Amino acid sequence: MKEFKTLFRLELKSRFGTKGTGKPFFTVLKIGVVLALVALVYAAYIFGIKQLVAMFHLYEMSTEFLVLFIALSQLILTLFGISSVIKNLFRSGDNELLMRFPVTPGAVFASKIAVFILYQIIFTLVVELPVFIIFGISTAQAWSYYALLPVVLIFSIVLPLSIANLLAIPVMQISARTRNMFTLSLLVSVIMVAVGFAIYMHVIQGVVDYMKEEAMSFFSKETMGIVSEAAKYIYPSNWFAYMLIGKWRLGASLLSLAVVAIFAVGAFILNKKHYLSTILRDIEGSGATFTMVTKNKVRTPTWATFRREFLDIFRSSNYSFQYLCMAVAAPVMVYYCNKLAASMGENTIGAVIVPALALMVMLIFCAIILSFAASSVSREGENFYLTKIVPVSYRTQVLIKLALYMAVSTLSILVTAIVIWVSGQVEAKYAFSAFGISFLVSVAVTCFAVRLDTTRPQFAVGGDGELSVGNVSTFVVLFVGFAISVLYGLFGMVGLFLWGTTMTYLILAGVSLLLAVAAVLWLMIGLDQRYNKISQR
Amino acid sequence: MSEILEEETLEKVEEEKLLVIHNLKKKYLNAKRYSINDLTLELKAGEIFGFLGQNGAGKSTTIKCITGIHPYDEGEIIICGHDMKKDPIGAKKNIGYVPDNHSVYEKLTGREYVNYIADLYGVSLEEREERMNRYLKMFKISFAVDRQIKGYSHGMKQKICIIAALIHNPRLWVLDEPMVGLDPQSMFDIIDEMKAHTAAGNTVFFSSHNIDLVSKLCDRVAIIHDGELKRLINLHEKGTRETLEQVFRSLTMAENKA
Repeated sequence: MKEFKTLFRLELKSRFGTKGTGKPFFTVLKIGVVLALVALVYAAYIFGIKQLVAMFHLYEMSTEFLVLFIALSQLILTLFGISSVIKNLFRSGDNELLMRFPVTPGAVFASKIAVFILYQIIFTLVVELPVFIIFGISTAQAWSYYALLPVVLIFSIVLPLSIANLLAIPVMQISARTRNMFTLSLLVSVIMVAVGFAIYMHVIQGVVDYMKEEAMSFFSKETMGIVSEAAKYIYPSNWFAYMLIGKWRLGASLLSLAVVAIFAVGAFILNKKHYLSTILRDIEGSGATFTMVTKNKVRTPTWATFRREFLDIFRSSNYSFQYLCMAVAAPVMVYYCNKLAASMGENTIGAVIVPALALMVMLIFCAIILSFAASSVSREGENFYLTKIVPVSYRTQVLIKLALYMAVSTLSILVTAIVIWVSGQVEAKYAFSAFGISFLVSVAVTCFAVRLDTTRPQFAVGGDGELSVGNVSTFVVLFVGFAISVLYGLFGMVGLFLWGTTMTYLILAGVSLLLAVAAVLWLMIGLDQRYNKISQR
Repeated sequence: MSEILEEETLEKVEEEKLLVIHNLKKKYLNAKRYSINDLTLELKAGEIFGFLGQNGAGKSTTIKCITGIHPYDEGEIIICGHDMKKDPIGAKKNIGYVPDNHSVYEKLTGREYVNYIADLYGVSLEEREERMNRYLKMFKISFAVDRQIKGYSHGMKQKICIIAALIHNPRLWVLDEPMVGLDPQSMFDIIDEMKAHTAAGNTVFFSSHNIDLVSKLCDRVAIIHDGELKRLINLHEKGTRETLEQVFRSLTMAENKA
């Protein structure tokens, strides 16, 4: 127990250790802004849930709502759980360190899982509990509903956690076997992302088409029938819901308990048996490398740096997924998003907005891909010193990185433009105008991203030399990129109605050019001095 | 006549200053005191120069300023006639640096890494092949050169760092505590290479905690404490090698007591 307490405290400290800027005013301001944003989003969430519960209740589908909500939150917690378990339990940077100390693997496991459980509890209390309470009040549930609520909440924490733990070990073993198969890993990731996204969008498209054809609300007789039928088979979420509302309570309670217990015991046994060996295999396997016989070859400094930067991304499953996979899968994702947005928009506003929607979707994916540029300096990690000692100017090094990001994103948006044109979603003139505008915005976003990272890089790398914490600049770039996309989309839609195609696209191209020029200047002016100031002590 | 000319050339080479540090001052962001305070040094061609000091004395900071990693507040650093502030590219072309943590791009193979560094310094194919083969043989890591660096041992990473630092045959070879974690044979190999490098008219500047090694290997040594140069010793002067440890202890211990 003492071991557990010490390790748990250490784990909490390493995650939430204070990182004050030294300026209390800015710290308070930052916290204030974040709290205000969180409050805003939370208020919108509660409002939305209230409306949704009222709608389902009106159409006598309260039980179905409860089942769907429990199923969705279970799915989110399980997916989040698998990645968290792998990252924090099996691939944690301090595993190797902790293994050297006289602590039992059980204590290490417990301390790490406790932090994870803490996250699940917070999610359950903040996201799930208000929904259950709103549901209870709106549907006038009896006292037994509230009495059994803690049990369901505990089940909601334990079940996804157990499933995640059960799945993590096989996932770890697959990843160990494919560790140095970079092209294969990238290809599989691309296929999985593209196919997964296509299926997801296909389902949504089906719902939208169905609603369009029926020309009635979501709660048409047939829709209600489908949802009711589906809700009957979503196990064990339906048992959790039945338990709460008193429908077949005893049976549902026993079955819920049995399912949770089976998964929990299964996860416990599996981890007890394989946790240590999986960690040790992973630590041992992290040194497993490849051999590639090559010849000495002379390259220009520019090409050599370009190639090295690419290999650094390509040979990292993490970076490769974040960047290359997204860039390659973007045309497929844009195609489906565009198809869905167009069918929804066309239905409510008119076909004239489709090109603007296409532009917006393209820009959103551009922002996702290019947010990677916001860690261009940070990713150097321990090797940052090399960028300082080599006889290549900082400006040139930064420009080479920019060239790589631009080459990948340009190729991605060009293919996207061709896809949406060839598939007949938009005419060629719209597709290639969207490409031109997206290219200019890409220049702006990339320069903005790199500028942020040259101002305040974060060299927090793990044992594998890769960034171990989320870079603040990445989130800023994503936020700005999304904001630009939405503004462009809205302006485009209004513009196409008011001024027609040529003028709208000319205005957008002009603004994009200005943004690009401004971002290039913002990055390049004083770049050498700024870069020179960066240092790792 | 030719003998006179040879002597003149030799004198010229010896007098050539490959590194001039003048009144260098460096203070880290938010630090209260200078990490390097008014440091002045001159390194001549053909010498092995040792840099001694306790932990936190300012050795690594000085080296990071010389190599261009850290900006500095005052003073000047001139490498082979190139001012680090005014002509950093010219200065950096003449330096080969081996860091204390031997960080390298671990996703590359040894050959890819050395080739990458050689490309940045514009080394021709013939020169890089000749040097790479020579050093790979010398440090006995030919067997691993096509393996990904991630799987290298501590010593192997150090060796690939050294090969990359020497691939462009730098006039000034800077090493930050190079012997840490190396096996005896590798240490001898590095010492031999240091001697060969200086014999060719270049300069070696290295920091170390190993007083015995410094006293045997170096031509001159600087002792630094609290960022200030405490003593510059010519080890060719009689008795200096034998008393180096004593001098070092007296200088640093006296300061510690104070």
